Amino acid sequence: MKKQEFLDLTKYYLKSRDVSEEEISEILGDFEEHFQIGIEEGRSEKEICDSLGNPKEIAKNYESNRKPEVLYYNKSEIIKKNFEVERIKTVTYELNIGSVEIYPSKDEKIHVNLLVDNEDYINEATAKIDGDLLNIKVDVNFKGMIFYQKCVLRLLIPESKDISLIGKVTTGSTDIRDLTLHHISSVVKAGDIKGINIVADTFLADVKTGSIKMKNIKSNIRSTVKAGDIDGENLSAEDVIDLKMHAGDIKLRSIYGNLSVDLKMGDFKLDDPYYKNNADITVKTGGIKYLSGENSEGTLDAETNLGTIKFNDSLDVISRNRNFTKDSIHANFKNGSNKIYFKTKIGDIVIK
Amino acid sequence: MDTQYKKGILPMCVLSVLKKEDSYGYRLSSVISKEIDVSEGTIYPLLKRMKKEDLVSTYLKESDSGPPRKYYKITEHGVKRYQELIDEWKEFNSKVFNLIKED
Repeated sequence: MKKQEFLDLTKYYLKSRDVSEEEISEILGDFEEHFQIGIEEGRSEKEICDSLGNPKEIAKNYESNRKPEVLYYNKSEIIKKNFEVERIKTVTYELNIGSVEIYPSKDEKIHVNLLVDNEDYINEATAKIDGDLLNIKVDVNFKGMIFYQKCVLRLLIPESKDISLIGKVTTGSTDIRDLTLHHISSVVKAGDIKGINIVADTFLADVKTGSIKMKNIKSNIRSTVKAGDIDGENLSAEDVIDLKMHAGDIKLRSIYGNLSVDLKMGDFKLDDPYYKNNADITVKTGGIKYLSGENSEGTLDAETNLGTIKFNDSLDVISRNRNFTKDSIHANFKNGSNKIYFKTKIGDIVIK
Repeated sequence: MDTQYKKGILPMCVLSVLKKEDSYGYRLSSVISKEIDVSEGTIYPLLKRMKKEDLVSTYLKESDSGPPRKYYKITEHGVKRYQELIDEWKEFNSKVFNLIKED
């Protein structure tokens, strides 16, 4: 190889690594100088090229301006290193068995840590960083008594309305607390989801078998439980709080927003709500209990096919149809002019 | 010798040479590649990175024969870093030596 070829190739490989024009001309200048001195010392261009080495390899050692490429962390790195990443917009996680804990980070970084009794129980653990996406996957295989084993995936996430969190646990639990994020979506097949002190645009929680507990959440909420319970306290939504359940109980206290409840079988209890526009409560089989909602502004629709609807306080019934086959009662709040509609096919309506 | 291993000790070698006197790229690369089996081209990206980390600074100096040359000078921070690297290296070597000595 001769000097010009060496310089051309070096330039080509530097360009392909997105090194800036300015830096390329500086680097090539360094090599020009190297050739110049070598030739003065009586070496041939070919000799100099040979001792400099392969232009591709040389170019590789210069820092690239390109965004970091896809980065993988393997099992032992995740377990031991507690690695940190910045500039992430979406965090996804997937864990088959164990608990996920998501807490606030004290700095601007996302911290990932896997706490496990015995490393052998982890079949595979990877964290992949691709641009602004962090993707964590943990595959656990507890041998024998799983109840004695522990596997906790702990994520510390900084407060940011730019960050979204999306995750899934097959068997285990998810605990999310003290976070301000853009979007949170949490799925647990068998187990519980707990969300405490959260501010977000949307908070989605989905459990097949188990319970969802939500406390102090300022976000639009959508929760689905196939079998289990939903317990919500101090929930406030710009738009909607939407709860769906096949079998189980729903208990809510201090609710603000538009409330939509669809319960197939179980009891629904609502205490101290302030629904902005509408509350739409449907229970196929089960009771509806509604307590002290004098602050509400909108319409309440409560419906059960089989069960009891109970109200106490603050209700002033303005018209009543004694004939329940027509199944409608219109009621009014004591200190408001808003309407409540509720109906029952089989069961009682008690108003105190 | 393993390439990664060599790359690890190169900054220490470069700082060691520059601690004695300022030097230019050609000379640094030939001095180091004479002792350690690395291609001369390896030194240039390293020098650039060390400059960015403020371990060395550069200046141009007229030469007798041709155009001015880019000289590298160790910085205060570079001297400090050099001492740390040397200490680490000595400690590491004595530990390895203890492990491998036969008696």
